Amino acid sequence: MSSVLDISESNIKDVSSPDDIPTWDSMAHVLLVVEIEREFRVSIPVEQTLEMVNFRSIVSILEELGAED
Amino acid sequence: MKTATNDTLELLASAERAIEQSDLKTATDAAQTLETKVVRPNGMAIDDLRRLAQVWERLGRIREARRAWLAVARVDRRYATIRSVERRLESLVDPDTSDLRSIRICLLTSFTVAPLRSFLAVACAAAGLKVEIATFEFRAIERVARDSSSALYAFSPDLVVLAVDLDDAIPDWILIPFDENVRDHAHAATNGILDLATSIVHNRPEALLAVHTLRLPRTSPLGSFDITAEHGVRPFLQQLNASLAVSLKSLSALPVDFDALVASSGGDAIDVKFRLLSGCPYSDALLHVAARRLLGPLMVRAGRAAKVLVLDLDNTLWGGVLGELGIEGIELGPAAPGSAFLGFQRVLDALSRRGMLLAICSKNDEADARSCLRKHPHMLLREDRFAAFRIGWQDKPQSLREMAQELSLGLSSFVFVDDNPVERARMRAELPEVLTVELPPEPALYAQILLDQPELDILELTKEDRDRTRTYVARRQVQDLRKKFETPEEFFESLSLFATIATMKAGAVARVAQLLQKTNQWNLTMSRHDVPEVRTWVGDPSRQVYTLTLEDRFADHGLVAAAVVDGASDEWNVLNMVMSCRVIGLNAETSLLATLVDDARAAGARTIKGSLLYAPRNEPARDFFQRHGFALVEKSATGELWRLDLSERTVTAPSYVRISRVES
Repeated sequence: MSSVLDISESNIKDVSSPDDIPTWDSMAHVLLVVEIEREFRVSIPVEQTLEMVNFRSIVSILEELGAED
Repeated sequence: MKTATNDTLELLASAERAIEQSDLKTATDAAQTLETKVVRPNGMAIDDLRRLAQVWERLGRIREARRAWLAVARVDRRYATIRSVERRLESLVDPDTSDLRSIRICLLTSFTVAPLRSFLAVACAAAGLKVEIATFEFRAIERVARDSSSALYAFSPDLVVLAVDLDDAIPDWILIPFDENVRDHAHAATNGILDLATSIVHNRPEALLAVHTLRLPRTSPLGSFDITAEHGVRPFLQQLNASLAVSLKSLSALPVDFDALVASSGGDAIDVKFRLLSGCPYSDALLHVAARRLLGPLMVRAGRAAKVLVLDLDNTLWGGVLGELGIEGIELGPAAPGSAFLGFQRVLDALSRRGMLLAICSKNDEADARSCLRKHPHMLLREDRFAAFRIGWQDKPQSLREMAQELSLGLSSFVFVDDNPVERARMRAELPEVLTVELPPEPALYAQILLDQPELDILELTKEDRDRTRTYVARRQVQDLRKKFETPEEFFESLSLFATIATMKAGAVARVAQLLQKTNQWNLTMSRHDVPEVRTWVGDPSRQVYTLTLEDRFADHGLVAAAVVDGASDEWNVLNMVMSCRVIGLNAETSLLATLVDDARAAGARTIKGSLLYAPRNEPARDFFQRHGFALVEKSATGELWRLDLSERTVTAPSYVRISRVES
C-alpha cells in the first residue's frame, strides 16, 4: 500500500483515506486493488472495490474474502 | 561464507544507518559497492533495488538513483511499479540530458491513457531519450485532432500516437460474421481513424504519426470455422487492417501492427478486470511492448539509427575458439549446438540485405579467421559480406575508431556485438556513443536480443539501402587491392577500368542534374543546374555535355562524371566539370578530358579554356587544369582561369582505362 501511494508505512492509519492522502487518486485506487489481489491471492468483486474507502475497510473486505494474515 | 543476498542486505542496512548518522562517506561507499549488481540482470532483488535507489536519492546522487529506479522497472514490469518509477524519475531530472531538447510525444487514445504514458516515459528514460509527453483521451481526441488551434498542435509534437482499441472502434465486432450493418460500421470506423490521421498529418506535417492497427480478438464466436468463414471475425479484421496500413502509408503515417505487439507480449493483451476498474484494456505485458515499439521510430527521429554491426568471431559468429579447435572443431551448422550460431548468422544475413553494414572485430589470427570465413562449409556470411575487418590483437575501441574513419560513418551509428563481457565493459567505458549490446550467455538468444534493439528499427526501405553492402564491399576491395601494388599504375591496371564516354542524351538528364547539384568535392565551378535547365542543353552546341560511365572489376559505378562545354567558337570553354566522390583517385577525369580535347581539335578549335572557382570543399578538383598542361591566364581571390593551346599540347588518355566512345 505504501509503495502504490508513495508514502511510508508509518503514515498509514486505520482511517487513512483518499481524503487525507493526496496520492490516493482514482488510478492509485485501481492499483491498490490490483496489488492487494496479487499479494493476498484473492479476487475482489468490482462492486466491493468501491467500498474500499479507507485502510480499515480494506482490511475488513480482505477478512470477508478469507485472506490469510 | 556470507551469501550474496546477506551481503546486499548488510550493505544496504549499513548505508541507511550511516545516512541516519550523517556519515555520508560510509553510506556512499556501501552504496557504491552495490553498483555492479544494479547493472547485472537478477543481480539484486526488487525490494533491495528500491532501497538502494532511496539511499542514492538521500545522498543526492541523481544519476545513480535514476539508474537504480530504472533497474527496478527492468525487474518488475507491473504497472504499479512502472508508475511509481515514472514518478521518481520525474522528480530526479537527468543531469546527462538536461541541456538536450526534449522529443515531444503526444498520445491520443480511445482508452484511459495513464498506464501507456507511464510505460512510455520509463521506456524512453531507459533508452536515454529525453521526452515530454502530452495526452488526450476518449472523445477529446476527435476535437483536438480536427481543430488546428487545439492544444495538440500548440504542443508541437514530434511524434503523435493514435491508438484506438477494437472495443471502442467497433463495440459490436462479435457480430461481424452475422450482420452486414456491423460490417459497414466496421468500415466506417476504420475510415474514421483514417480521417483523424489525415487531419493530424495535415495540421502537423512535421510530426511522425504512428497509428495502432485494430486489435484482433483472441477468439471468435465461429471458433475453428472463423478462418474459413465468409466473414470470419479475424480474417475480416485482418483485411481491414491491411487496407488501413496501405492508406496510412500513403499519408506518410506509420501503421503499428497491433497483432505483432500481442505476439511479442507473449501473454494476454487484454486484462479484463483492469479494464473494468481503470478504463485501460491492456495488460502490463502489452503496455510494455506497445511502449517499447515506439522507441524505434523515436531513435530514427533522434538520429540514433544503427548503420554498422561490428561482430566478434569466436562464440559470436561461431561456437568455440578457432585458434584452439580449428575449422573442423568450431560449432557452426544445422545441428545443435552449432545451429544457434547458424541461426544468428541467418538473422545477420537478413539485416545485411536490408542495408545494415556488417564488420568484423576479433582477436584472432587473421589468416586463420579469413580462411575459416572462406572455407567453413556452413559459414553463411562469407568474406564478401563484410564492409570492414579488424582481425588481430589490437584493442577493440581503437579498431572501431579506425573502422569509423574507413567507412566515413560516425561511431554513434555503430553497434558492438561481442560475447565477452570484459570487451563489452571496455567498449562501454571507452566509447559510450557505440551501442554495446548486452548479449546473454545463451547463443540461441543472441538474435532476438539484437532484433529487439530499438536502434535497429527502420521506417522504410529504399533501393540504396538494399545496395549498400555491395557498394561498401566494392570500396573495401579496391582499398585492399591498392595496398598490394608497388606503383599506382600497376594498381589501376589491375582494376580493369572501362569508361564509356557519351554526349548526354535525354535519358541521362536527371543523373547529370543530380551530379551538378550534389557534387561538392570534385566540382570545378560549383555552378548548380536543375533538371529543366539541363534538359534544354540537349542538342545545344554552346552547352555540350560529356558524360562518363565507369566500370571496374568490382562494380559498375554508373554515370559518375560530366563536363559542360561551350564548343560554339574556336575557343572551347569548359563551363564546369563534376565527378562523384566515389571514383576520385582513378584518373577517370583524364580520360574524359582527353576525349574532349580530341573532339575540340577535330572540330577545328585552337584553344580550350576553363575556370576554377574556389569553394569550401572542392580541394580535390583544384589541380585539374595544371595537372593536364593548361597554362594559368588569370588568378584572383575567388578563382583561376586556365588555357590549353592545342597547337602546342595535347592530353593523353591513361592506357589502363579502356574507353568506349558513344557519339550522339
